[in-house]
Amino acid sequence: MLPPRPVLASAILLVGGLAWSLGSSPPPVASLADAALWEGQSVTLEGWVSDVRPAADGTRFTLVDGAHSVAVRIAAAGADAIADGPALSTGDRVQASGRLSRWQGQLRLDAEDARDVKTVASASASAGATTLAEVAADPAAWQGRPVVVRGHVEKGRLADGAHSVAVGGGAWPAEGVVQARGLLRWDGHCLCHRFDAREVRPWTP
Amino acid sequence: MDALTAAGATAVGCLVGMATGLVPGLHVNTLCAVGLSLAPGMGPTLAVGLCAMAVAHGFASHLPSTYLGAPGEDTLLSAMPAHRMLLAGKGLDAVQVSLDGALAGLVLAVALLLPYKWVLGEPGGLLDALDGLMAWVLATVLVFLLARETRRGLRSFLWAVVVLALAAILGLVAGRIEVAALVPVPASALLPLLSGLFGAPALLETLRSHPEVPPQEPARPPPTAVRRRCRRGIVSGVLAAAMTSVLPGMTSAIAATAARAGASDRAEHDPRPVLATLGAIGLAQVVLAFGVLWLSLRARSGLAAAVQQVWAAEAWTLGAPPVALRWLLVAALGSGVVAHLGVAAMAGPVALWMGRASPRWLSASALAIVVALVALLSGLPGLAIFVTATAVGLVPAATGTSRIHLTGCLLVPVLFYRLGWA
Repeated sequence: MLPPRPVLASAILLVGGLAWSLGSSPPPVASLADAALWEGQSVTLEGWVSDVRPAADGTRFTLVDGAHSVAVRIAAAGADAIADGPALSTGDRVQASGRLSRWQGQLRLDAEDARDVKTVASASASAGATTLAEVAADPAAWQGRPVVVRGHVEKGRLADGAHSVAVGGGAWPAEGVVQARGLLRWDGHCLCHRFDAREVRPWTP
Repeated sequence: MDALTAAGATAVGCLVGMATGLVPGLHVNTLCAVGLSLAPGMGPTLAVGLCAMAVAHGFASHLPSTYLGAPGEDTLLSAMPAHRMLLAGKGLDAVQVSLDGALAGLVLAVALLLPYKWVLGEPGGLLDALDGLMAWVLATVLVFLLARETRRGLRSFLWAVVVLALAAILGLVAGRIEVAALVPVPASALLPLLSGLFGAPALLETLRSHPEVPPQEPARPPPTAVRRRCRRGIVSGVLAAAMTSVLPGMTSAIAATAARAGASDRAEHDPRPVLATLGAIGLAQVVLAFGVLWLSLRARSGLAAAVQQVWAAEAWTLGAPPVALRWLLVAALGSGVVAHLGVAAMAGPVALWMGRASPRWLSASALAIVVALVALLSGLPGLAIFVTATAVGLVPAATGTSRIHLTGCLLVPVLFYRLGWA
């Protein structure tokens, strides 16, 4: 037989040491593209906030970055604290920390508290100017990311030369040249990307 | 998916599983993660291949689990049933009864899938009822495990509490440690945790205690009375697997404890019914986890989670099983039959080879493979978990406590999660 006391003492010492080594080390930061590699672990993911909605079991939103996305849930108790902190809005760049698991086949990050979601840049501050040509070349890469684009609105589309995108929500004029700040999103009804505008104003070239 | 593609994927999966099952310490979840990273775009073909691989792996793993990790004379009483038979020269009998139990469990689980659906889904509605009671169910299982030890006296009970507490703390800590593979596959703290708790201690015990493995006798059919107990064990094993497949954090060891709860002491003298039960549970859990996946869209096993990623599961609400599930069941049965025959054919030569090789050399090699796998697939933090888990895994052998309490490493974290404490 192995001697019980030394074996037990070693086990307690090693478990204690392992627990102590955890300390308050923050979870590692991973890109949304690599999120699947961290399934089952605590991790911090950075991306653009999309589709914010309250739910019975907390607040839910989707983190998107290019073609990659991960659902985030802030537990109901933690979500109450959101009222005290900065409100999340679509297009914010945030870092969300929590345990990454798979729910009905999709990755989901469970944040315990609203403090686990930190805003890196607000939607208005992080909106970058780009051209419709760039957006149209690879719309999936621009999905959920706040941008400022210019073009001509006609027949429900925002066009710039040979490139165009369907217009979505926002105060779009029926026709005219505009500068719009907003987000590109995938619309399952038209199987196309739509541009939801936060702000649309007339623009003179 | 056409029949030819499914047959090809089943054949490849079966061959791979029969090879990987021979590697000690290599868990099927790890293989699924590797499969997903190597062929992410193969969709249903990969799912069928992984299913066949997992089933064949389950059959082949009976060879290393019987022939490796046998204890010495001083710890013979706490030896696993297969090791007891190996040390009595009946290793081939142990492998054969395990294989027969596994095949019977697989077939029975497939046959019971429809009634299982009626109980869990409509009209039984057990899944929904269990969802609200999950924390209570898990707590009851923990109490049941500890209460069993009271039969052996207060000292045994206290040691069981200590082992369970240590395993629970380790499970909670390990879940918070960041592990990363040295190769681009998803890493999990479960590999070092379970290899350390359950795999390494048995191998270290062989290294320490120089067991004398006698020449192995040819396999003989068990007597009628034992055969009858084996059959009962298989049925109770499949029923226990059906219960534990619904619950998170349940291992086959807990299912086996539940299945053997009413077994008489007389049955304990011959380990074959226990082995048949264990074999049946392992394979039944593979099939029943698919049933739970299609009924609740929740993966309760690593294989089910992998399949869910490559083959979208739609809720099974009415009628016959969905097409995807039917393909997986056919692959499981096909792979099971081939693996049963293949592993049974391999058992004789392996026993002959074992007779010539030194158990210490075999165990040292197996331990080296396990350590290398842990380092490769979970890095340095994984090795730290592995060393700690090995130390905790040695406590039951040192104190004469049942190793079942080590399953607290999964049960308690899941219970804490359900209670919102972790």
